[in-house]
Amino acid sequence: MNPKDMLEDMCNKYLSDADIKAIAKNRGFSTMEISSRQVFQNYFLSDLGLKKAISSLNIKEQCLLHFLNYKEKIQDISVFDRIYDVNEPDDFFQTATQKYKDTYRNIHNNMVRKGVLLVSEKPKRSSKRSSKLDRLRFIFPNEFVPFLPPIIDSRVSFDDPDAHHVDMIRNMLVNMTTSKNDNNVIHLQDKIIKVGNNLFTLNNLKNLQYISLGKKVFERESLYPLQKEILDKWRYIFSQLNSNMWFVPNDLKHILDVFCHDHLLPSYKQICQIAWESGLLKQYTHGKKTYYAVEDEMDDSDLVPDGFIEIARDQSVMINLNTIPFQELVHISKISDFYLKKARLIAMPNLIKAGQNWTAIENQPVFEWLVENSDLYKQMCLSIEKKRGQCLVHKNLCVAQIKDLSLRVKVEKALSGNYKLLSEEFIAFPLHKASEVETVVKKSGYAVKLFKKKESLQ
Amino acid sequence: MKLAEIKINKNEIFKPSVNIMQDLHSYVNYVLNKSIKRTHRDNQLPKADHNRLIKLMITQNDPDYQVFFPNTWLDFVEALAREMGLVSFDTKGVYMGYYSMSPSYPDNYIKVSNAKYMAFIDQKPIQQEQNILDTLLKNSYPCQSELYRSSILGRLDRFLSYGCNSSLPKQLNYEKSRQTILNVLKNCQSNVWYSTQSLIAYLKKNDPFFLIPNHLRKNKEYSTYGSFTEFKHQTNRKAIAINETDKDAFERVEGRFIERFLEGIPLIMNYVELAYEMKESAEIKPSLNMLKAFKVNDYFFRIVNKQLPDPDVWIQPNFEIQVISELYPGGLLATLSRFADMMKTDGTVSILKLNRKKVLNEKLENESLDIVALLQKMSKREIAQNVVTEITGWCAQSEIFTLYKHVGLLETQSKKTQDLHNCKLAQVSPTIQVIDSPDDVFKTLEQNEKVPILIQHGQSKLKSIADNTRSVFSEKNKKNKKGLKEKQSVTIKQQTFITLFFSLKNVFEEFQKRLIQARCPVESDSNKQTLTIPGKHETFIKDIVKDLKKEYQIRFE
Repeated sequence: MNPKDMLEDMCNKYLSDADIKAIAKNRGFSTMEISSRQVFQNYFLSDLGLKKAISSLNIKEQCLLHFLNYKEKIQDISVFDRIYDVNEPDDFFQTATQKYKDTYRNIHNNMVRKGVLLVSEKPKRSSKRSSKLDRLRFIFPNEFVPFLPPIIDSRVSFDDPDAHHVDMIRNMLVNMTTSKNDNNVIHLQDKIIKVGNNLFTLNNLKNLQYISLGKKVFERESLYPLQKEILDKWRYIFSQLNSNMWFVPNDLKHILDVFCHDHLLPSYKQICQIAWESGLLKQYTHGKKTYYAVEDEMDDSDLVPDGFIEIARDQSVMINLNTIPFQELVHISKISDFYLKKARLIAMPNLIKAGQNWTAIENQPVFEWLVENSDLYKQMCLSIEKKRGQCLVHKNLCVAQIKDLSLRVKVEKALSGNYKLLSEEFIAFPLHKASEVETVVKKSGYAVKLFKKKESLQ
Repeated sequence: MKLAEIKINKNEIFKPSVNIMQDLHSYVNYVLNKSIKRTHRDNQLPKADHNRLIKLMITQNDPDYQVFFPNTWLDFVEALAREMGLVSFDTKGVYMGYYSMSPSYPDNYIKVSNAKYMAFIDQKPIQQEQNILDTLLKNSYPCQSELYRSSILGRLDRFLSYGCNSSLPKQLNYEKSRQTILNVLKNCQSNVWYSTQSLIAYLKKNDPFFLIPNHLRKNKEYSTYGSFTEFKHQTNRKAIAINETDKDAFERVEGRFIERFLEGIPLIMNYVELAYEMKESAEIKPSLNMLKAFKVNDYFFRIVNKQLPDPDVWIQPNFEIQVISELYPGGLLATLSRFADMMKTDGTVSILKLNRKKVLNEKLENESLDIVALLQKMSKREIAQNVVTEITGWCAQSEIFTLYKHVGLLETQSKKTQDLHNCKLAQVSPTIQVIDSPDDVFKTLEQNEKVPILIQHGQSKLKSIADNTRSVFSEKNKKNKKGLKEKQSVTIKQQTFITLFFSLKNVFEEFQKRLIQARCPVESDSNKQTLTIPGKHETFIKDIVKDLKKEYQIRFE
């Protein structure tokens, strides 16, 4: 069952007339919008009254909407265990109806009738005994996601906070030049900066921070089997925050209650502290309270290249690892080889790498600066501009040599424009059209000669 | 050698017509390219394949259906093919569980030994015939011997098979015994009816130990005739023991073997004709002296003396190929079937017709093959000129369409760049090459600092290159003079529907009925009492409303 079917099922079958009226009241639909169920179905996913309806939910319910958004998949009624108490949770012998009777009432009144959820009943299978509550399915529609409130209700703001940062990545980078230990997470290998076994990219750096966070947290609580699942949840939670949203550790309570329901975790204070140590959060102490906010984005920097690049006499580039924004280092790594000289990172242009990443870097300010200031990079740029486009390699296609004009016309007709004429005899077309073309050729009374590699070797 | 000649009534003659060699080829050719899985429980051919094979074989044979059963004939041919090593499949099976009463045969596929079959069809027909004969003669399993199992074409009954795989029957050399009788037949005159009893008498006199050797008779462990029991009438009660001291013991055991051998291998191989003196109920079971006479035919002597001529192939101007051969020319027909369709096969004459598509495909498979020369070599006569011209023309067509699948293209103006790799398949134009493994070419060009661009095309659509790159895939031509992209055309179909909401159910039903009578496409919802019709049929509404106004006061909102 996909969300589209669920919407249709909900609006036409599941909801009663009273439910539709209640949703109309909560979402502020007029009589026109509920004149028929089909019309109501069209308006349900609109933004009409949605913000008001969502803001009328309590904080736990709002967090659950975030959780459903994180999950993306259709959920059953058990997901509401996270916010509503179930009847005698330890009684394994009760039926689903006994267990979720009150939960269902809460869902229906607080969420379904407010028009913020899609709900439908899965068809009953004759082979399986299941109650109605077992068959209920819920999903938070993608159309409602932009109207989700911030995951933390941040009520404090600081004009110019002198926040404490722990720049774990920066420390690792600097450490790469000072200690020549191959076990460093960020290290030089074959003239390439690597993060573990991966390339130096912002995504891999972010992953490194989360791995560090996970390692510290799960060492304390021995939760290794759940590490990936919980880290994904935290990744979602942090992605919903921005660097101006300051919060105290206790603000995480409702979120973690919903997201990490039943998981044994360190205290909120410890989690914030570890996330700060991993460079994911920044810290600011105001009065007697310690506030946290997520770190600024790694690519968010307005530093000009003069501040972190120096051109050497031999026109190579010396990089100041203490100041270079990570995004710029990623750009430089796409066109350069690196080596260390007197504990400094030196970059030299690499034409092959630059050719591979040309479209990604040709308009980057740092690249333009390098071309302007370093003769080596200028030379490389001129060389690429001269050569690029002179040599094209096409892959994943079929080529046919057709020596008969009438047959070629038939093949062209069968391909209905989805082909390229390479010469008088050769024609290129997509792989999936090969069988169609073969049929046309065979129907025309000709045989298909499939070219075999060994023939070319003879 | 003197065997008694005998006069035979024509009605008593039995001469079934089966062609075991042809059926053997038909069977192997059928299973050759099919992955046939035998039945799990019974280890039989699947029903569909079984029926097809029987149909194929029945059309080729003309046996006496009083004694011939197609199912058993198919089993016989299949067993022969397996015995000759042409096909293989499991016959032992596995017991699937502790309570299994019989073995099962999971995933028992029939596999054809290509090497053995190719070696077999490469032989001359006479050698193939000899191979089949040898395999049949060599069958040493006592329970399948003439004494205990009825011949596939025979009419005579057998000894009870209790204990057939033990004691004396297990010690006998059946191949030698069969060969002895066959040697006697070689010394007969062709087309002369001999009394079977005289043959028995001849062997009794000249080679009394041809079946049960003297050393086995002397061996006290075995009773010479203990494994062979006669019964009175048609019941299995009142057994009559055969003692070595009985004067007619040889006739009763060895004699029966000779009779049953004659209606076995020689009859299957079409070497003999037989005459029976059928009695309604024999007094003693198994029957004795019911095979009255036999006649060895010319065919047998031509086989023995290897006097059969090679098959005669004649390619006629109407593209028909006539193959005349007394023996089924399996190998030759297999070769010719690569170029021609089998039209008809009738004993000694097979007619095929050259097929253009088959010739083309054969040429595609093997480019160096000279089909005309090959056919000329087979045919004893000169091939007609029109046939030669046509075949040459067909072969030339194999070059008209060549398909390069999963390949790449290299576009470059530089000849030096083209020479940097060795993956070229074809040169399309001075600037384009068809290449194998484009990834390798791309890597090579990258290493040579040629700054190549890799373009990965979609599975169902070619990727167009929109920028100013010089390429045949460039989309420059599609832009109009102003440099603007052509607008995509979209068709929107507009249709208006009229929905009528009724307050009275009977009016709703009446309206619906009249619309249907007027053959107007109408969608109705009886719960809501609504009728929806396409806008272009509005006139129907007006007409019906006009009629209904005579009975109801109708008001539109």
